[in-house]
Amino acid sequence: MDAWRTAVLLGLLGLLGFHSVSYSAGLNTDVALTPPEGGTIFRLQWRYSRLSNDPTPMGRDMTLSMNPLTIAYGVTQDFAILGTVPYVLRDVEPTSGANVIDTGVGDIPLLFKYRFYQDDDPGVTTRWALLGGVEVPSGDDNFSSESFDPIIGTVWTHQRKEWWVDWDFVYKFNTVGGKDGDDELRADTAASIRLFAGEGDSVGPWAFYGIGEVNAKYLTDGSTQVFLSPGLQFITPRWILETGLQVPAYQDMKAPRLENDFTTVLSFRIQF
Amino acid sequence: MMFTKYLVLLILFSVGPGVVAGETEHRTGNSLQLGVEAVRVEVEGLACPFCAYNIEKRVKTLEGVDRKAEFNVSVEKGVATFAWKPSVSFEPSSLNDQIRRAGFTPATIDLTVSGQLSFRKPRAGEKQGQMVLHLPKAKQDIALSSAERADRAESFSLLQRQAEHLGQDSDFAARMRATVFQTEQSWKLILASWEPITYGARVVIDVEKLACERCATGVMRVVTALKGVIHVEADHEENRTVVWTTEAKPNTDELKATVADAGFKVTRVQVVPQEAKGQSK
Repeated sequence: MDAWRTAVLLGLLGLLGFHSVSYSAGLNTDVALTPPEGGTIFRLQWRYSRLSNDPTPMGRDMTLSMNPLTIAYGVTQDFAILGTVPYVLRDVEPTSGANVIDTGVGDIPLLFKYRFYQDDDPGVTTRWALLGGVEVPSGDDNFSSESFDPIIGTVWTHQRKEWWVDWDFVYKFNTVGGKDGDDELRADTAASIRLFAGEGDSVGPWAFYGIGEVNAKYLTDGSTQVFLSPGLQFITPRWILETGLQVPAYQDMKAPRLENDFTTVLSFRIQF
Repeated sequence: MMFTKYLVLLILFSVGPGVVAGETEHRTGNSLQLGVEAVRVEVEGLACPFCAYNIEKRVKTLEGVDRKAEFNVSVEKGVATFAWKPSVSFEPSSLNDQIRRAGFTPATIDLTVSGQLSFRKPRAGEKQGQMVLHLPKAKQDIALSSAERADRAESFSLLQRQAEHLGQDSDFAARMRATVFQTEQSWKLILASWEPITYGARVVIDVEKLACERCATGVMRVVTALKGVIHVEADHEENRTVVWTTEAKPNTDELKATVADAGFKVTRVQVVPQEAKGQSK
């Protein structure tokens, strides 16, 4: 793997992370709410990111447009499987010369989610789940790590009608090893507050939520990123439309990784 | 516990010492037959609109849910309400199972029921009875302790006394709507509204051989299901079934055919016009 390809791939993988496997409450996190038994949730996101501050002499900037499609299926009331196919368009701007534009499919995380704790009261629920699975290489020369990377994690959610909060910790073992294969730890906190709500005849009960997230990521090469992510959600019984912005609060990226300037997110979920 | 095809709650006047109420149903004909029309179930853990769809999807797999009617889930109240086909049995545990499979915890269930009750005053020589309500025992996984429920239970006691009073003076039949809900120990019934049913006529059906009480009960069951039938009594000792109907000119051919289909040969059918509104005999 040449240096150029390694550099852009690492930058890309850092952005893909695990947020693309989210399918419920948060914009950039996993939560403990699983699909009902026999239910399927589709989530399509459009994530637009700018990366810069290349620590290498190459001095690149990069634009990423990603469309991760996540499908989650409830096998039982407590056990769900989910997978994400991230379609990526990458535009690399070198300091000199023409832009290099590539498209392809990133690696595909296949996860299970098992809810081992649930405590329900009127209008309140608390849930705790385990995550496990593997990130399968897509085989794409430009966007794949070419390794099967195990993933483990846990998700805790407390939800009320007026607000909810969840935490998740997810660890990915990169089996490539060496400089190309740093493990990754993600820790996300997401909180949301209901701004407006109603029970209209046409869409049934609906609610408008404001979200705030803190998304932290640590790589075993020492690279660290912490993002603040405000957002909005419009939730109906059948679908959710959501949007948000992810901005870095702290970044310490080791070469050859690029820093993230910002990410915008537009997302749509529908369940069957 | 099971609500059978029609939620049947028997209101019976015991006719003598040692007589078990259920065994004398065909003799007294006193009954309360109700079909479930609507269901209201409280759902715990329901905290967002996206969850509401899951409940609707799972519950609608139940045969009795009327899919043409509105299915409402209120996140604010934590309640799902939906229409039920009265002809289909309602099984609380099936509903609870679907809500759990949707990922939530079911709580109390209220049923809106409608139907008709009928009972007659004790005949000469019969002992004045005591109303006995046979209600299925509640499942242990449905808790109930709120003050609201206690109030409802009190109003039910008033209803019970009122019904006993009505039954002392005359035969009585009424269409009624009620709410049935579960307590920790039993099902309770609250009358929402009722109106007396005016008898049109009595039809006396003699059969060749109504051999036993079970046969009498069988005839009662099939005849009661006919449209316009208010009240049925069958006596195997007299080989006779008496049918009270809302129609002044009841369809005797249908009655005969129904009894014949039940396996009994009809020897005579006599229509007796009703004498007084709301009463018989």
